[in-house]
Amino acid sequence: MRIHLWRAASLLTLVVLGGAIELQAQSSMFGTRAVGFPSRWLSARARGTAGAFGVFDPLIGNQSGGAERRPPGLRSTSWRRPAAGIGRPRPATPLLKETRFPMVGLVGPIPKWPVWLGINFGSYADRDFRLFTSDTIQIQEPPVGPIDSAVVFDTLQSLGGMNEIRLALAYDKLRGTSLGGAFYLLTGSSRIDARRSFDDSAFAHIRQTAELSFSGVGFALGIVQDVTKNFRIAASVRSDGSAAVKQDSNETASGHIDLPYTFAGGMEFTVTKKLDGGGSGRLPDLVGRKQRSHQGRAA
Amino acid sequence: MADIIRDTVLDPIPDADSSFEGYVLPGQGTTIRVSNGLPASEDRGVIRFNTRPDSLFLRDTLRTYTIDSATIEFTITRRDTTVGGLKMYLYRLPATTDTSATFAQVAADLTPGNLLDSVLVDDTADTPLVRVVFKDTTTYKVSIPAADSGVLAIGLAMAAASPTGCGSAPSSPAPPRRSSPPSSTWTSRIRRCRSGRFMLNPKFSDFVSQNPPTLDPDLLTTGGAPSARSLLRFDWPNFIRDSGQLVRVTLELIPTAPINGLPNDPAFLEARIVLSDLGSKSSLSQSTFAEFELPEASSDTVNFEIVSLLSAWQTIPTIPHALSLSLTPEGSSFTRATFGSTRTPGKKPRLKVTYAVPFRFARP
Repeated sequence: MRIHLWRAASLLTLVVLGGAIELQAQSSMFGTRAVGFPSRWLSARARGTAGAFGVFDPLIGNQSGGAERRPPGLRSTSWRRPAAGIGRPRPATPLLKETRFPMVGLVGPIPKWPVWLGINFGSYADRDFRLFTSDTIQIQEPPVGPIDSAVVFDTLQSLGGMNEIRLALAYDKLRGTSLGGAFYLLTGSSRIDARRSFDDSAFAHIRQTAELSFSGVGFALGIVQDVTKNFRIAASVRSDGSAAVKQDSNETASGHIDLPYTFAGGMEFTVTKKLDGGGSGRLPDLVGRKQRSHQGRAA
Repeated sequence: MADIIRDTVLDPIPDADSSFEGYVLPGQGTTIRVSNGLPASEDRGVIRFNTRPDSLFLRDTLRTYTIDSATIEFTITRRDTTVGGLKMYLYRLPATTDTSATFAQVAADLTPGNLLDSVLVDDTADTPLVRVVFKDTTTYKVSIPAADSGVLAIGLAMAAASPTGCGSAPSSPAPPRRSSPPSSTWTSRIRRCRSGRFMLNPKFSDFVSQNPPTLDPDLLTTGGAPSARSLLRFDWPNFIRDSGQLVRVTLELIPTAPINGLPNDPAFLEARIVLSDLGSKSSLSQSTFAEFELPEASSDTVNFEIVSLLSAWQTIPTIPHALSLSLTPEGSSFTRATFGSTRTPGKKPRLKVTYAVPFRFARP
């Protein structure tokens, strides 16, 4: 009976992994006045398994995850920005600037100490987008003239994003329990270009540009617990506080964006020596309460 | 982005708007005005040709000659094409006629006894050429007495099915495309030799008006001949100059009388930014201007879109916030427009400005 349960679990895992479906419904690239499109903080290994091992990866979600199981070294991944196809056709020849390296990190044990140290650089949010909207607005109120309506065509374009620099420590000498913590520095900028044209040629086009810079700090804690020899669970919590937003060369922040808490949990089990199964979940991800509330006020 | 659009109205600086006259004199424009009972203006044309020599060089010898024939021609460049039966009359004027001649002096000489010829203008042509040939029995009409010292002056009048006007190409400046300045071509014969031809251009071409309007200093006047221009000065607000982006700017002008001109011959109100405010002699931008076609015989409020013009006020900090208004073709059109100034109750000009304030990118 025990064997049947393991076979059933293995089959379920294969079906899930075979589909390789990432649940991204919560990702909103229309929160143009927030931090933007959330990057997927997954290493190449985690992305290859649809994120199932994300919380066990020492490079990403869990500071303590996998410290004792992964060989130390340099890991990185690259990707093309996901927003490239939104609102404009993808160019026939990919541009070099569209290739990003959202994660590069160095993880390894500290000699003579039961502690692992990780330093990595990653993309926190992507602000590459171009949005086209059309609307009818009321214009020229008295005394300029009788209220008139004008059809406008707006384009809002951004290039850039937020990045994070992480310093993480993990301790794994607690009989199957690994603990970790991390400190994040959030930084980045984006160039924004807003344009408005009118269907009435009497109105001149509007174009405004700005460069926004973001800064903030975050903290995270994580744990990995071996339940049995072949089954482990993991959990982490992360708080990023709020990001200060500065426009152009202003020294003072023009605004703050509340960043969400992130709760993650997952499980991993070994089917055979060459086959692992797992699953993970993350809540609420970047489309937290604040960013969602911005959508209604987007341009 | 809807909430970044703002509207405001700006009045010119009181008593700082004015009109000046005398920029383009009659005959210095692009046409010689001629009319018959046109309400806008009653005009007659005057052309005086260069002096015809009394002898010609032939085989290194200066020889006398006799005139076999003469041709006078000019081009009609502007007219109301809906009025048919346009007929041009050419009269002989005294050789002493000059640019100081008045309408009364010229009209007194436009008598049947001085009529050289009349020509029915071709209605089908865009810029019809008027050509009058004097030869054989009519050559005597253009013979020049010795007392006139070889000078031939002619006056132009016209008739049509209804009161109208027309404009012919002047001697200078360069006439419009597909037209030629007035000219007289003479065919001469020297005794026992072959005949030859030579052409004389006008010494000057001009027109005289029956009732030239006087400039009212309390109104904003454009057009006419001599041409008038208006100058408006504004106090351009800092809240627009510093952070606003102009979306639409409309100069609202209210005519004090219906704008009369030659029907179907449009005249354009032209606005230019002032580069240096020196009153009537202000230097104007030659490259940046806006035009508005004035409606014929209308007294409706003129809404002149000048947003492309005023961008210079936003970008050039030292430029005076003044506008010059003129009428084109200047000194040639029958149209003369008068608008209310800041001293005209109920008809003051104003700027209607729609602008965009900076979008708050950094305000989540």
